[in-house]
Amino acid sequence: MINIGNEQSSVLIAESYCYPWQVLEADNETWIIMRWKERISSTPLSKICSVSLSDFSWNRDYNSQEKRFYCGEIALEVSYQEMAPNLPKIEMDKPWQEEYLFRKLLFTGQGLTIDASNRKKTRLCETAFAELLLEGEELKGQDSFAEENKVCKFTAPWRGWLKGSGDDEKPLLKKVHVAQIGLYTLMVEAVIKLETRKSNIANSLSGVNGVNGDTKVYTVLSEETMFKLIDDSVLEVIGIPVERAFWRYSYDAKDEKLVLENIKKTSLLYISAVTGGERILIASVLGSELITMKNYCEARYPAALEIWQEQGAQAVVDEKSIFYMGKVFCQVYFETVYLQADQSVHEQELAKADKHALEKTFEKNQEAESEQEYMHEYEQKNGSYEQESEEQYTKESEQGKEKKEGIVSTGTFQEESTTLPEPVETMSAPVQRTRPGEKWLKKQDGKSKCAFKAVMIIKVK
Amino acid sequence: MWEMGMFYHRPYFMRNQESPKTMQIEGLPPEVLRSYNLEIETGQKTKYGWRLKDEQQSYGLWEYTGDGKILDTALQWQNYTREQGFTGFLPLYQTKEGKNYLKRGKNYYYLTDWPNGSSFEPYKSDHLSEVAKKLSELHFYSKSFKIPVPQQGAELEFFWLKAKQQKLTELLAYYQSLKGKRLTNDYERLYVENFGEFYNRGQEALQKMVLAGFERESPAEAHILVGNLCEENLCKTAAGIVILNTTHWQKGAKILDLTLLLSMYLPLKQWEWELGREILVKYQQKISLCTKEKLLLLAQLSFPRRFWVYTYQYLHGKEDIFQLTEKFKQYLYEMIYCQNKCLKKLEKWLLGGNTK
Repeated sequence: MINIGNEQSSVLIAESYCYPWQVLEADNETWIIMRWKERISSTPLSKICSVSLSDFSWNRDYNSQEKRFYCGEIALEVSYQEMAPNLPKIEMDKPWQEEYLFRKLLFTGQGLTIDASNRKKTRLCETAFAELLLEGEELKGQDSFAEENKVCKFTAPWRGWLKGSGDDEKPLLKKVHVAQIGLYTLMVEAVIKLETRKSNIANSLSGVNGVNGDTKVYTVLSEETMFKLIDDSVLEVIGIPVERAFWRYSYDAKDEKLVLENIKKTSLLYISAVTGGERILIASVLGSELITMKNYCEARYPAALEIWQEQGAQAVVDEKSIFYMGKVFCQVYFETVYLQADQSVHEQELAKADKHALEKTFEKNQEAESEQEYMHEYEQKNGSYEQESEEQYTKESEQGKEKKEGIVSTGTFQEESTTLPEPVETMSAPVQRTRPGEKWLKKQDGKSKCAFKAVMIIKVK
Repeated sequence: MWEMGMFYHRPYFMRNQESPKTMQIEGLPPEVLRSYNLEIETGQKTKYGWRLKDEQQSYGLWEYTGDGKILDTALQWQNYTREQGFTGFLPLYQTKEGKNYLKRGKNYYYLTDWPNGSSFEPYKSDHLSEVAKKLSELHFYSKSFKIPVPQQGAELEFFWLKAKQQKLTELLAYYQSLKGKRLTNDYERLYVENFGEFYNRGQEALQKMVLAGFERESPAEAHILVGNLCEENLCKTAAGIVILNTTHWQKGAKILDLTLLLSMYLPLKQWEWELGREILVKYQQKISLCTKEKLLLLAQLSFPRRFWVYTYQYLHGKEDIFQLTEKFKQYLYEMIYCQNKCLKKLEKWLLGGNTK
C-alpha cells in the first residue's frame, strides 16, 4: 500500500556553524564537516594555488547492529602564494575626509550602532578573495609543489557515530572548500559522509501484508517537499538527511489502522551560493510526522519498527527553494523474534564475559595489597576485557545480521510464524531489598544491550 | 549707498523700475547686506555663503548655522590673532553696529575678505609644509587667547582620551557581536581578522598618551585648535596658506592640530617619513616641541582612527560596501607597509635626535 503524501512546503532555518567540526547525525547517515581557520602568514596572501589530500584514514572503533563509531584522520595540504614584500603604490581616495570625520564625530556622541538584523539582511555579499571548491573524489596526494608556492598543512582527527542497520559504506570525503578570509587567513571546510545502505529495500519488504496474524506490516510513503531557505541561497545540495524520534503509536480500531506519530528533523546540507567564508552549511526544519498503516487488523502494540528513507530527486529551483522527492519505507513488526534471533546469542556471551570478569576482578581485589595498586591492575584488566568483549560482540552482531537478512529476504519466517513464539529472555521481578548495601537487582536480571559494561566494586573497610 | 527710507518714499511705479541691487543676489536676505557699509555691485552664491564684489575688491559673506557662542569665539579668535600679526585668517569686517556677525532667524552672517589665491593642493609637499608653518604661527599667536569658559558640564569635550577610549570600546562591542555569527561579507571578515591588532594598537596608543601626561592637562590649559584642515578649508594665497573657516575650533593640546595634519595628508604620500620630518621641522620653526608633545604626537598618529570611521560608515550603510571594503583593505596595506615604518623612523628621529 502506498500513501501518496501531500506536497508540502517547509521553511528551513539556518543552523549556526562551528569549529573545528560540526556533526550532523541522522538516520542511517552521518555528515561530519571539518573546519579549520588559520592565520598562516604575516604577509598578505595573493593566491590559493591548489589543494591535495595527504591523509584520509579511519577505524571502526565500535560496531553493533544498530550503530557504529568511526575514528579517523584527515590531512589536507593547501599551496598558496604571498604578496610581494614591497607593495606598489597604495591608492587612497581622499583619506583626509575619514580622518577629519573621526575628529568631527569624536565628541558628538554618535557611536557605532549595531543592528545585527539589518546587517544580515542587507549586507550579504560575494567575496573578492580567492576560493576553491572541489569534489572530494578529485583530491589526491601531491608529491611536490611549485617552488614559489608555500604550503600549509591542515590536519585533524574526526569521529562520529553512524546510526542505523544496514551495510555500512566506507567513509567518503564529499567536498572540500578552501577560502581566503582576510589578508592572512585561510579557511578550509571538508565534508565527510558516513552512510549505511540497505540493498534492495523493496525486496526486503514482504508482499502485501497486514492481514490478521502476519508478523509485519509495511507501508511506503512518497514525499514531495519544497524547502525554502530564507537567509541564504543554495548553489548545490549535498544531502538531505532525516532524523526521526519520539515515536508514539495509536490504534484506530474502527478503520483497522495503526497510526504512528513522531518528530522529524529534516536537514539540508548545502553549499551556499554566496561566495566567501563558510559555505558548507546546514539548515533544518523540525516538525511532526504522521504515518498511517492500513489493514492493521489486530490491536497489537508493535514490537519493532524499521524505517528507511530513500532519497529520490532533488532540484534547486531558484537558489532559495529546493524541491525534494523521496520515499519512506516503514515496516512494523508484531513480534520480537527476529530481533531475538540476532541478539540472544550475543547477550549470552556478554553475560558470560561479565561473570568471568567479575570473578577475576574479585580475586584480584583480594590479592591486592594497596588500593592504588589494585586500581591500576583493574584498569589494565578492564581495558583488555572490553576489547575482548567488543571483538566478540562485533563477531556476533555480524552473524546476527546475516541471520536477519536471511530471514527477511526469504520471507519464510514471516509466513510460518502464525502464533506467538516463546520469548527467549524474560525479565524477572526485582528481588526485594533486605539489608542496606545488599545487591537487590542481580546482574543477570538486567537486560542491558549495551556493549560497554563496567564493573564497579565498592570496598568497605 | 542706497537708503531704504528713500526707496519707500518714491512712488510705486519708480520703485519697480529702480529696485535695490541687493535684491538681485540669490538667497541673500537684503537686510544682511544693508548691515555693512558696502556698495556691492555683484554677488554670487557659493558653497558656504556669497562672493560679493564692489568697485575695489571681493568679499566673502559667510553663512553659519549652529551655536552662536561657537561662532562668537571663532570670530573673536580671528580678530585676536590678526591683531597679534597672524596672516593665516581672513580679515573680518564689522557691521555698522560694530559687531562681528549678524543674526537673522536661525542663521548667522559674517563678512571677510575674499581669499584671492589658488586652492590648496594636498598632493604638493610644499603646500603641506606651509600649512605646518601657519599652524605653528597660529599656535604661537593664540597662546594667550582665552577661550570663553564653557557652561557647567560642557567641559567633557576636553577629554580626548576618554572619547578615544570610548571609540575603542565601541569597536570591541561590535567585534563581540560578530563572534559566532556567519560573517556576511569581506568587510566583516577583514574586521574580525584584524580587530585584535587594531584594538591592541589603540590601547597601546592610549597608554602612551597617558604616559605622556595627556590626561593630566586641565581644561584651563586648553589650547584653541583649528579642528578642520580639509582641503576646502585651506587656500593658497600670496601671503601663504589661509584658513577659511574657524567655526570648527576645538579645545585641546596644540599638538592635536599637527597630528591631524599629518594623519590627513601623509597617507597620500605613502607615509613618506621625510615629508613627515619636513612638516615637523616647519612647525618647530616657531614653536619647539617638548618630549611630552613628541610622545603624544607619535601616540596620536598610531591610534587607529580610520578603523573606527570605516566601521561607522559600514554600520550606518552610508557607503557602498565594495568601495568601503576596498578602502579598508587599502588602509590595512597602508598600515602594514607604510605607516608602521614611517612612525618608527619618526620616533627615532624625534626622540633619538637622529636627523639623518
